[in-house]
Amino acid sequence: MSNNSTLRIAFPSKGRLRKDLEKLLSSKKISFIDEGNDRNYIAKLSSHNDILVYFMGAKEIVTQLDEGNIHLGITGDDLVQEYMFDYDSKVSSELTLNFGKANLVVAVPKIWLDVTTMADLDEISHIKRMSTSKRLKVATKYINLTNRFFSKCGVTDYRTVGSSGSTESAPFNGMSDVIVDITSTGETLKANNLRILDDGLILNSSANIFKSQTANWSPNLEKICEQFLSSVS
Amino acid sequence: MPDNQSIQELNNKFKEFFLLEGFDYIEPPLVVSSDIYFETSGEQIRKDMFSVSSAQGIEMCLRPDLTIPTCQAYLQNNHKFDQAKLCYSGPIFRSGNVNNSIELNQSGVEILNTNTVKDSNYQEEIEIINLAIKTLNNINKVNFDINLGNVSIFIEFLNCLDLPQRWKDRLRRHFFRRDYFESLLKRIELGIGFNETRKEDVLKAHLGIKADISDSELKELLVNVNSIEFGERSIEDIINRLNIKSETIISSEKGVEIVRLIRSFLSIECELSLLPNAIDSFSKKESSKQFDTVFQMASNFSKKMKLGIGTRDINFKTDFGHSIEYYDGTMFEIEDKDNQNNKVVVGGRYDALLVNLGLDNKASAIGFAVNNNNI
Repeated sequence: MSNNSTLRIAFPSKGRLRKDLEKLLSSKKISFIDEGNDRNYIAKLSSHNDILVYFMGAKEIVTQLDEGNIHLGITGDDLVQEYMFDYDSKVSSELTLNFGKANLVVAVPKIWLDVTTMADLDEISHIKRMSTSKRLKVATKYINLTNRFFSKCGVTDYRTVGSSGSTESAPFNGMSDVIVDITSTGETLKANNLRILDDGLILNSSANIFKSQTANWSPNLEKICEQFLSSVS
Repeated sequence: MPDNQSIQELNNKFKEFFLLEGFDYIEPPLVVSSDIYFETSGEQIRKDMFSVSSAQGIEMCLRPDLTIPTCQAYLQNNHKFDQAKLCYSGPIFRSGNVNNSIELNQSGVEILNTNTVKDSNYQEEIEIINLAIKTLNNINKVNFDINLGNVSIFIEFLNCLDLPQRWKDRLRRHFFRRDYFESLLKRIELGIGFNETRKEDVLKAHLGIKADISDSELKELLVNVNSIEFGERSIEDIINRLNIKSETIISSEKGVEIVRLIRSFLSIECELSLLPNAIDSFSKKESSKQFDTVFQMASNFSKKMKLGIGTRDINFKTDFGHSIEYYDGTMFEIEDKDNQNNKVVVGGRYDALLVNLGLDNKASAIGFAVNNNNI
């Protein structure tokens, strides 16, 4: 993978992101060649002879961008900001794509009528800690983004509780008091009797083409990169 | 920055000095529970710590300071005591950023007292600041500035303001988080409280009902809406707080005036002996007698501290504070004028922390640490 004349790009290997990306490529008359079958993890693009495509999980793409093993990677803002330490200095967003859109939000039980803002959350978490010595439990998969946002909002009397699935049910099975989770339409949250706080939007995320600043770049690779970006934008 | 050998020599030198001054040496563990740091400073301190989870899921960290482990180690073995004079000397660990992961060294003292609580004569404050000066003199450091603050004076000032108690509590609690404190001031300027229109909106949006519903009717409705468990808040708590928010309204006009007063108060900066004059001028400028108690407290503080510490100039700032939340009274730092004004000593009062660490009764606690890497 040290060939200076080949640009290495990571595409999501499955799910909605891959389907949306294929749609985009198809609309630009770009197709995969040498792909073989669904289990093949390397392919070439019909439009660019000097690009190798690697299919991998969206989270794995973040790791490979971080380590500079790939030049470009298509993944979500949320994953980059959650899993890459000091991401600003390691990747740059070259193109925001019109898919993979989701909001990372703070949601509380709908019945908490008195809690509409993060300042309310700060106050009730402090009341809870003072009266019970316990801290507000926040269920989330996004621990780093949650900590940064809560810190910015002055909320300190809480603990994050790792959640690997169905975060929406956490307040109702005793696992947590509130949640931080990704939502596209808010319907799942509503269906689970949860409400997004007025100022509870942590991140407006979408799929992006990220450029690794830690990968080896040559003038030739920069040129191929520019050509690829203009062909999909 | 001194090399490793000089640091070790400094660590030993301070330790011997504190022992001669009558302090008991404590060697707290290098690895401590992370919980107390999250409890006192919140999750955001995580980025400054080397914290990992054990196989049992218990989160432990390399100690990021020495005050907490020293007090913890002492309290674990001494459930009942009158006074403890403790000292320590050794490394602490702060992660900083990837390129600047560092081991720092601190030497310091802590005076814990279960007989006396914070007194209005500031005897312990005087003792600890004089000891800090003597500690620096002992290594031939004489050219330094002392900066002093007292959060109690700010709290007294807040008590004089016509603000809802929960907002006073909020400003007090976030005094140390300056960015967020500033955002709270901006919110006050916009007006605060949950007015009837807002209450009506919330009830209508979330329950489809009008605001003129009685508490008992609302309770009944909420019980029906939510027949399953939803965390640890009771419906009564929710309704009570909804009502409290509706009762404590500050208009934007009044909010702007309150914030102007707060900013004006927090800009007071003077030599300690001039503090009463500064507060008096502030009160006169505001044509208000509502700050009489602040004047009295500040005058007493200034007089007693100057008497105890002597003729040396001390800079007092009303907004002086540290980034660590547990200081809850007098705070001070000493800057080395011969060395780029590096902070060489940081200290203060932290009575409430001892209760958080598990002490049953109220106590007085005060101390300071020398940053040996800055010497």
